[in-house]
Amino acid sequence: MTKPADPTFMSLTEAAAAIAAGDISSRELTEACLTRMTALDPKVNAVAGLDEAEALAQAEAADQARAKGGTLGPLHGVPLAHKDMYYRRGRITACGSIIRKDFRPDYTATALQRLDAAGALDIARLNMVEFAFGVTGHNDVVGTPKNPWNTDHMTGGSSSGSGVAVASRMCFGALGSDTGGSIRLPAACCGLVGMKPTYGRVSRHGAMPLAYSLDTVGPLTRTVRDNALIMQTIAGFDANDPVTADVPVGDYLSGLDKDLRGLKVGLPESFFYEGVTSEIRALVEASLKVFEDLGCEIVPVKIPDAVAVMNRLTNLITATEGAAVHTRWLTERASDYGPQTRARLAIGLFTPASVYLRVLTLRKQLVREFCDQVFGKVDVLHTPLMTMPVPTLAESNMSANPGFADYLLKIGHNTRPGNFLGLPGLNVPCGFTPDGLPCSFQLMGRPFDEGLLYRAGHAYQQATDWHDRAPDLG
Amino acid sequence: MTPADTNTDDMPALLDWLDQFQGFRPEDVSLADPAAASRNAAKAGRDAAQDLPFDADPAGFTRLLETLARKDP
Repeated sequence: MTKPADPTFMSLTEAAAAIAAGDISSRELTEACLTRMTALDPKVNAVAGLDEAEALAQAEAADQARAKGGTLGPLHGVPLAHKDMYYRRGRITACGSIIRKDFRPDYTATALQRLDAAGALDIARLNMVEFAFGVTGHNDVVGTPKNPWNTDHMTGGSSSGSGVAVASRMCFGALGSDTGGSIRLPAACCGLVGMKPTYGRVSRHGAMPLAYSLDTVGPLTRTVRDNALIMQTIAGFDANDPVTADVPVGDYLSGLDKDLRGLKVGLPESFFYEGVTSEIRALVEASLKVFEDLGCEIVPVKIPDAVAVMNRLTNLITATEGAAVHTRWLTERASDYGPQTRARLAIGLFTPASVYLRVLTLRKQLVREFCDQVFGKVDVLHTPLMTMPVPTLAESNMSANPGFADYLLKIGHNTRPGNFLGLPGLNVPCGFTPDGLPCSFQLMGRPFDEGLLYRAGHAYQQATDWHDRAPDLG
Repeated sequence: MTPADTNTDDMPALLDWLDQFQGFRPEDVSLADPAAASRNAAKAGRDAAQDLPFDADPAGFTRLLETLARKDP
């Protein structure tokens, strides 16, 4: 774990400030990121597509704009890269698949438009699980990214390349998407901060759909402050996505440094610690002690029993809505899918419409119950993010083998309830297991309480230094 | 759309369905006969959905989340 004098090791916030102050140019920063990308990608396989000339042209344009003295956006000139499922007009968006390998959308995703307007660069397309349908990071059709902390281990998915690229200092932040844990799991496996926002907080317009009722868009970054900066840019109502909420976006950044004294942090009495290994428990409990030392009140809280089925209900919704999206390709191009993706989508073809609609209806009842029982007593809920140390690529390579469904349920045990309930969840690294792989806790909150989660996560990072550690990739 | 007054006591029927079909295995006999699987699933779905008001609109779910947001941000 080293921190050499390399500009790619700045945080996103520091990089934006350095460009604004003229301490470094966007071109210098972009060249440094491209150099790392080129050097390290053969080891970790994060990059799906890279046009170096285009990336440098963006940087030149950013530097010229700054030289003219115009108003700069909060992300002006900062190199970002995103999961290869965000549409950009005229550019290939392959979605981690063979089926979409030549797809060039004719419009640009709202999230990308907002990042563009804030001045961010978009320097590469990042690998992902095929059609975002998987939590381990494996991709049977275009290749599997490797964990930068130990390349024998899985990255988590489905935003696998986003996790790898940001942890490897190839870029300063990346968009992922989260339908069942696909931002938080790669963030956890790669030692990053990942925010799955409230359902409806960020527009999905121009993001490849997996499950319309669950999909969310959010960032993976190295610090909580960086994450809040990107979320501040992309959150908010969008007429092109009818499920976006018309709730004002708070000022996530100005509230970050408020102290936490008196904040009620919930310690779940059930469900979220089921199956948690001793090394994960020790690290997560140590993180809870940090909140206690910061003046928070730790409050044991009963979790509604219904949470136990949300993992499977989330799977049902995902498979059913995914099958609807993929029906034509499942018929015409079945052999172009990886075996696990095909098997999981095929399950959705058999869901009776009445069951599917009933599950969605039940969801409304359960989120009311959860908010009443949990957030009636505490401000945030603190849980382990994964129940086990980061598995190796070999042991988590389930493909469509017998038992894969149960294994995937285990990986997503603590993430899928957040998707089912539509609640925000912030992943924050809190140490390393004895094998040197990252471990994280999760903060869950009321709908649209991203600002409070950021405030709590930032206070934790100010009191610890896990986020300063970087993988040694040579 | 008015939020449904769903009875969570209906959960067992739903769980039965999940046990039968979400525990998918490639060798599962029901998947070897998709038509039978579909018929059985449809029956389970009809049974489970009796008397259930329809309220599955995702935009409506966002509106519900808005009502559950913190009142004193």
